[in-house]
Amino acid sequence: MFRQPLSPKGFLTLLAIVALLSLPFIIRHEYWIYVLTIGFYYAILASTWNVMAGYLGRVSFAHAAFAAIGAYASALSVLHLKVHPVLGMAIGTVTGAVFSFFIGYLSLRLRGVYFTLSTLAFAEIFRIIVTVEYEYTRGSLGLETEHLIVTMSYIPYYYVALALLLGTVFSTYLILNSAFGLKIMAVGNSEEAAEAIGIDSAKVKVVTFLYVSALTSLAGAFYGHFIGLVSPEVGAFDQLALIIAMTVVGGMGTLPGPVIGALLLEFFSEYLREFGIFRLLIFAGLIIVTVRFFRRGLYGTLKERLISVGGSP
Amino acid sequence: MGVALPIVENLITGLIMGSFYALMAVGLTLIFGVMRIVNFAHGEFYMLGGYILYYLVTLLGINNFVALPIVMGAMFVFGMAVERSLLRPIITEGLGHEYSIIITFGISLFLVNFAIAFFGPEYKTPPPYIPTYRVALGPISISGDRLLVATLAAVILVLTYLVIAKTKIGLAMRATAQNKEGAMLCGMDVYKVSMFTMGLASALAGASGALLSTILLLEPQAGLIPAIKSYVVIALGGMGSIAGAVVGSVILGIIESLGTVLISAAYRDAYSFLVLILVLLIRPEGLFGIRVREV
Repeated sequence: MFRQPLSPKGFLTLLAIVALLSLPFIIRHEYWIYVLTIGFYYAILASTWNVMAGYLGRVSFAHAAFAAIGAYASALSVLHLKVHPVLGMAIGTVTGAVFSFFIGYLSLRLRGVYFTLSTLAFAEIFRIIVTVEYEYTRGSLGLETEHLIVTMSYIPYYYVALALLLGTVFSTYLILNSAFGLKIMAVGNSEEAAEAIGIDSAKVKVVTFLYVSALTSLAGAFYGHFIGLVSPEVGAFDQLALIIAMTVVGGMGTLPGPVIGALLLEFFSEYLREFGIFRLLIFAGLIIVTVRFFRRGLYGTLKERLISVGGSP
Repeated sequence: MGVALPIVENLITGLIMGSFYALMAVGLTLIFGVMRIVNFAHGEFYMLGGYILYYLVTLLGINNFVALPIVMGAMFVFGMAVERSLLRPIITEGLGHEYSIIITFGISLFLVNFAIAFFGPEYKTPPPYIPTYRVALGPISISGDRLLVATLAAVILVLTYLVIAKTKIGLAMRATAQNKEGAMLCGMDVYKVSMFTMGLASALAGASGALLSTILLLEPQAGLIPAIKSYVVIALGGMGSIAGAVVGSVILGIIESLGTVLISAAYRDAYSFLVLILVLLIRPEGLFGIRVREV
């Protein structure tokens, strides 16, 4: 998949990075910088969810919950331990990793759907705990937290989010192209076959889930210190739905797909703000139609078309 | 006596709740048994059943007892349509479980937001089957409508059992669940069996919604918690096992009710997660399950 000649692909990647780096100088409107920053946050979540669903073949319903775990762990440690938000974000990342290890260890040994069920139950219990223990979390009101950077502009946040996104995408690229990445895809294709050639599939799954969840928690912690408020909304079902819609529409099982899907749907989402309640209805429709008829998503389908037009396989 | 009485009362509540979970869980386990998928839109089938009952009773003035079979019929057709239009590629193209999870999740999201947009996000209370009164059983009193609704649930469960055990299509369902290729070789129409299974399961979830929403409240996301519990139930009972689904439902209902008195009421909906963890740790194949190796 990534063994093609680097030139056109590398060129396009470079072009996209340069474009994203220079966007704040082109778009002078703070509002759109804000929208893009949120878009990068979703792009991180979609990219990491994609590693699980698109490559490892395991669907997690706790993805938004892990973002919330990172956000709460960070906000609470900044509040009580009086640490800097940067250290808080590190604590959030580690907390997410620890939780994911336990869930992964418990449920990933079993067949695929048990993992999905466990993540669903875990996400729900996390939501209940956060809402019930309002003395610590301020319940559904949300917990106010310090901002990461003291600034009047969104531009510094834009670059932090972009750096986190590029870090996520490149580390994922490196992992998928390593020997471990081959193991991930082997397990994703057929666990039995992977086991038969000597891959410790349980280990591959747990480590992948840990990597994915740590990054997700980091993104969540960043989001908390960007908005300045952590509420159960961060881990809500709607957020999970957005992440899945973005990944599926952009192209599950491809590296750029989730990023494209996230930025596209985030813009679409801002555009549709006046439609309010119909927004998620439309996204749900997009998920169904894409999965049913364009399984490879926008990026995958376009790539297929371009290749068939170009004539080379 | 001071502690014992609430415990007995809660045991009965647990049994009643268990009968509702069973309606949902039997449908889920049938779908899993025959089609090898977990339907993540099951809670929304429950919710739809509740709304159909609500509108039949409030708008058309139909009696609850007449409306219930109409709800089940409508949901049966709906379930079959979902299978035919969206789940069919799972059989024809042999798609993996990611497809089934994501597509049923998409259906779930669509139905929730459809309900928010067109039925409204506010709580609705369908009229009860019978006026609320208390039934006294010695020193314990339970509400009569709950008892009646639980009885109706039990009747529907028995009818479902008869369909599966005594009819030709039930035989085909059991055959498909045991060995899909074998069933096909014997000339069974696996497509038709899948469609019927989905219809039946969806009718059961709809019935559960039509019954339970008269006791609990009805809102677009009302199906989420019952659905999560029925997932736990089928993991506890053993996926694909009907007996497991019924026994698991009763056990979960009792655990929740006892947990509410003995530990904390705020965490009522979280106990199911603890049950799931224990199942995964101690007996991952569930109480009635057999370890299945997939090739």
